[in-house]
Amino acid sequence: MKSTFTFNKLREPLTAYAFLFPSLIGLVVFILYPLVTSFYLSFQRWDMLSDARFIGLRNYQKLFDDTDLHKILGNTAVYTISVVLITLVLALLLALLLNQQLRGRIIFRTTFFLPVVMSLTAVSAVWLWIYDPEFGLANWLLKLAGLPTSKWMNSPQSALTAIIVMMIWQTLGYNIIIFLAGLTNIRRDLYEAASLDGAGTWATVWNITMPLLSPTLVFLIITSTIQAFRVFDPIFVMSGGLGGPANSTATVVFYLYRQAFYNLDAGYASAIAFLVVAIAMAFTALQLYLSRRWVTYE
Amino acid sequence: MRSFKFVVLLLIALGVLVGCAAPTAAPTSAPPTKAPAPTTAPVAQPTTAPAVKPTDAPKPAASTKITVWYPLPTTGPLQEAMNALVKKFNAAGKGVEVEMVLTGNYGDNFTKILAAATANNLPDAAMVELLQIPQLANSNQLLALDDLSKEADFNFSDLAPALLGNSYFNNKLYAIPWQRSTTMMFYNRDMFKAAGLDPDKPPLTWDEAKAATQKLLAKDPNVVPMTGAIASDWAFEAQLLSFNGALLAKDGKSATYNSPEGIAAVTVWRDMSKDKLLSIRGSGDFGAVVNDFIAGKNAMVMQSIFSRATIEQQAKFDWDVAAVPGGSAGPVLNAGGGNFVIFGKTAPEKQKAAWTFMKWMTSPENTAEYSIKSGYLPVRTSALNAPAMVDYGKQSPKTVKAMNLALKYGKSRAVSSVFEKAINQFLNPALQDILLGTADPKTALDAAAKKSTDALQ
Repeated sequence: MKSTFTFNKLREPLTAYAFLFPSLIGLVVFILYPLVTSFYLSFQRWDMLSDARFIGLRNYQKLFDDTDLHKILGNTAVYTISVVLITLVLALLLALLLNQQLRGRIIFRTTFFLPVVMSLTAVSAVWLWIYDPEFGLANWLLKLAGLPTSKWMNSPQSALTAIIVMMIWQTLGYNIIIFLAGLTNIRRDLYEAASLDGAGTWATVWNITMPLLSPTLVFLIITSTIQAFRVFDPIFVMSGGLGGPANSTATVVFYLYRQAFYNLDAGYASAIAFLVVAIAMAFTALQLYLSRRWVTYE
Repeated sequence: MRSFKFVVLLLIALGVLVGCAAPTAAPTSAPPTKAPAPTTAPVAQPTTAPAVKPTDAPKPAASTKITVWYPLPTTGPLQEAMNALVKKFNAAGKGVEVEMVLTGNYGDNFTKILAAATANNLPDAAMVELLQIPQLANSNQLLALDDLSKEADFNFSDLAPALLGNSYFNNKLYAIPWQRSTTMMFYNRDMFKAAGLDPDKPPLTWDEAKAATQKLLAKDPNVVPMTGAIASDWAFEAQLLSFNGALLAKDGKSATYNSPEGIAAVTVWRDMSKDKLLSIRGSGDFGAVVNDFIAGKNAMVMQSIFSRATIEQQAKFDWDVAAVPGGSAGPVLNAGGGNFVIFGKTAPEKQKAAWTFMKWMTSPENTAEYSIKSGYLPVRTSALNAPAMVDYGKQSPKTVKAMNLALKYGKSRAVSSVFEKAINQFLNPALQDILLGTADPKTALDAAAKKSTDALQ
């Protein structure tokens, strides 16, 4: 009798774990184990062919001495700030437009969302054609408008800009959808009250929409920034795996990949990975702290 | 107001859609791909199976099965040429059955080898890009081939010396050349004649090239006389060797590409580029430069020997092929590409089987056959006189001329177990900075070489 009693007591948590088990396997095998291994490797010198050797904090020290890494962190910052800022402003404006009763609203929403569902690798390959300096659509349009053409991916001055433009196009739709969801959550009666009080369009947006949309905005700023900071696919595809002319489009995750799989320095690559983690965590903490001052939670 | 918003949205939506629909809007002549090597080869019928498992081969009683990894895309003429040879080998009754697994490009192939080495499930043999071989040899992953290569029926001394240097590491032989190509210079004979140049005497030195390009530019100011996707370590190393320089010191412990020879080698290119005599493109533009040459935008193009098939098929003018001009040491053509290796942890009988396969593949007839079908260089000097090659020379004399030149002027690349980490990582951005005119040659090469030397210690 006693054994049945303990079994019954255990039954509930066991059932819970049984249901969790499939996703736990994924978590442990693909996230937890690599995370711990990577942390361990960041204190080793390992070329993935010979035995690993413990070298203490040397990999972390190299983070401070590596001038190429510092330039690449600069690239990454320029990329992240441009993509996040421009995408958010554009997406907010478009979401405000799309939230109104307009003809063909659904078609517009679908159109803006289309790039999001496309594979980033395929999109990058297509945009390489658009950016072709001789035959590309981008230069053709510039010529049509009487503007000077650009060498796009072939010049260190324009290569990163070219990728930024493409990524704004690619991420815009996702941001619009999230903003629209946020807008739908704002209670109608607030707008009615405002219009009864005689508030104009601008006053309504500024005093009702923006404050009530601020939680959505914080969510998007944090997720977009982390995502932009980790950018890899378009960088790899559009630079042919090289990081652009004179390293101009190399970003920190691309650099990490190059350290590991071109230079066979898995230890240093792991140290860079933890630098990325540290930066992302610091940024998120800062955001959450600052957001307390300006975000309105209903 | 509402219709205004509608128009604004419509315009932006159209913009977004244009981005989606671009493949149809882009012209068909645009070079779509960034892969340096096989893109310019003629397109062939795709086949479905990535691995070769011939079922029709007569199997001898005791057949040793081996797996060979081979970096090629799963479709195209190269894969067909390789498949045909492997099938023939399996049917030849050598007691060995080869399963060839295609692993993508050289980079993917190497990443897979790294993963397999860690997981202890390497194949028996593979073709590996030659710069990656010292890394494998240095960590004892490869079988030394010195003894096997002495077998009389292998005829080691017949292997083209120009292709052999990158097979050694620490004075031991680890690889047999196989899929090799080099940069050549293709030129437009019609444009040479029009500018008053002798089309039978292409420039052999950069002084001659400068004089020739000046004449070509004077004749037609709309033409950029010379072009090439040369802003990378491969082309630069050949240029450096032709100026009597070298990437590394003899002991391999320091970088020497910032020597006066190195600075002279890159300054020639930069100055010609400033004077609009030479247009330097990045290594992503391998396809684009060939299209430009075929379209008559350039009179000379420095480009892989591989591209002669495309030029042969599409050029509507009288073209020819020559060595890339050189510095004080004369022209140098350094062949890159892949070599065969056998893995050290493979069982001895499988190593022997893999050797049998390599020996068969590199026989004069078979290397000639692969060379003719693929456009890669034959790995044996005698293959240039093999009956199939002689026949082919009647059909396509310029191809065979190019192959002869490549083996004549060929030199090996530097050997280092940290080539990518210590050289390419720093040299390539510096070269791009110099050749795009954004950095001074000496300053940029000095800074890069210092980092290289630090990494080599």
